[in-house]
Amino acid sequence: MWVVGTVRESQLALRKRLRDAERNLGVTRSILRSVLESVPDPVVVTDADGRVVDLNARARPLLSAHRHLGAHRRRAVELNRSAFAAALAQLDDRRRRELTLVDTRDGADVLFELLGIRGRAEPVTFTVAVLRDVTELRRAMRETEDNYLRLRQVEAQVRTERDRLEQLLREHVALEQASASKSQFLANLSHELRTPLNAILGYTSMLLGGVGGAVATAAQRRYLERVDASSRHLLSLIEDVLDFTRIEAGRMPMRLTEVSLPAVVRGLLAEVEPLVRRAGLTVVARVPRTLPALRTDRQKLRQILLNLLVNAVKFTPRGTVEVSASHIPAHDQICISVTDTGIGIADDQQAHVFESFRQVDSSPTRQRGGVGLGLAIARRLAEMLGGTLELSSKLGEGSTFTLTVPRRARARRTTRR
Amino acid sequence: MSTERRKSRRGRRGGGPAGADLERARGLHVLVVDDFDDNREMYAEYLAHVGMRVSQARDGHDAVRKAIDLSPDLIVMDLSLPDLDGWDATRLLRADPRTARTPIVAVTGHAIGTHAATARAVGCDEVLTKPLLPEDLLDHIVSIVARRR
Repeated sequence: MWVVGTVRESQLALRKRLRDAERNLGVTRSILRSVLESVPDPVVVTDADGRVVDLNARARPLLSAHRHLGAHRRRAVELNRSAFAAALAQLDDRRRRELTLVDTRDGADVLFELLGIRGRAEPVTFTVAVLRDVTELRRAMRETEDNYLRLRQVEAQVRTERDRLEQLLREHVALEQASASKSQFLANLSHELRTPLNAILGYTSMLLGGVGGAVATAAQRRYLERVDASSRHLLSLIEDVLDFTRIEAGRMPMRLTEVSLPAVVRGLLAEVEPLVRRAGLTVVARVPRTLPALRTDRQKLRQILLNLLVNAVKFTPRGTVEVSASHIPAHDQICISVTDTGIGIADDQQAHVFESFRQVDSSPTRQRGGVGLGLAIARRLAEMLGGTLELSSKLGEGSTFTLTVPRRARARRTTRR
Repeated sequence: MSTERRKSRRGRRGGGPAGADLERARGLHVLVVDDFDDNREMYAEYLAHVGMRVSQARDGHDAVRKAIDLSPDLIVMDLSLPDLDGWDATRLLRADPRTARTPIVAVTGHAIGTHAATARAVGCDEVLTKPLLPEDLLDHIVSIVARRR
């Protein structure tokens, strides 16, 4: 009895322990399940052969093949499983491996990094595989990589562009230096030519003025006057060539001021008055007092008009030279014409009068002086003022040169390349 | 082309101006500085012809020495000179109390660039461009002396 009693007791105790153990196991299982489900990534537990023995809810859309799934999704799960098994078999030394699985809910490819953690609970071994979605991470890395490459490309472009600019700068500096040495040469040339000419003009003037004794004969006086006139002519040629070269070199700055055209014309007429009187001509100025004030480069305007006036006098044996001016409101331009009753210019010659070193009569026996730079200079000056210089002429009847300039000239770069 | 630059100021020949200012200028002592003999002697002979006392110098050092030793009433200074140029000579003269106020008329063949401006900056009273007729130089001398009185 005693024995029976003891056995029963121990049976009861064992059952109780078993129940307790079962309860504990249930608790442990549900804790494990909670842990598994609380991981934000898909987690898969496999046995030693790689067969899936458990997975959490996040892993189900990837690897769980319910019977009620369509054939298409079942096929996707099969593919996922074999990709998963293959990846698991090929973990690197950090026990990681990247793989692409299809999310069977939407068919989208998802890039995962698989981390396989080996575990052992005698007598079984198992692997817990955590799948981390690295699609965004990889995309960001790829973008960073792309951006870096683009940056390198831009950097290379910038380098090329910088090299090109440096090259241009070097060429620019070389041009500037060439231009500067040309200007220096011109300055020296001008100085060298003026120095002896100064003595020629000065001594001639002294002789004619009776310094050192009176000129003995009328013929001697006439010869001295020829020397004087020729040296002045030589000086004007030197100045023309220098002016022309300065314009060509872009070394003629613009100085814009308010200019009264009537005053300029009055001054010019006074200047050419001796020439006009000697030629026996009449000069008429028609510049309306109501003409609006100009803003332009006074010196250049003067130089153009003086050239036109001297030309008109030079090529007019008899008659009249007329200067007229008007305002063209439509374009806000000032139009100044110099008209003569001189020898005129043939149609086929008119296009050439503005060319450098060109005179209509270029034969050695031509009667008028000059190197033929005057009109070339005048036209370039007109262009610098933003205007034009035009000719209309009829052989034997006379010529009209018309300067048209904006009433308000604008400052602009004068350097030519 | 620019007749304006070329023409003699009064369209007259080398006989020279008349008038009270000229009378006063006659007794002046002028130092003419130029390395180009023809030009220097031309101005010297002309100024002597109208009654001035004239000294000559052919370079910058000579000019500074004579300006200090001879105390001329006025200096006609070419700018391009050997060794010491006209600008530096003028600077030295302006720095010396004995010549600081002596009128200096610069005469230069440089028609281009900043020569005139720099010459004024170092103390030249007037800057004239060659070609310059002797009678035109005389006009300028007479008017400078008249202004200084």
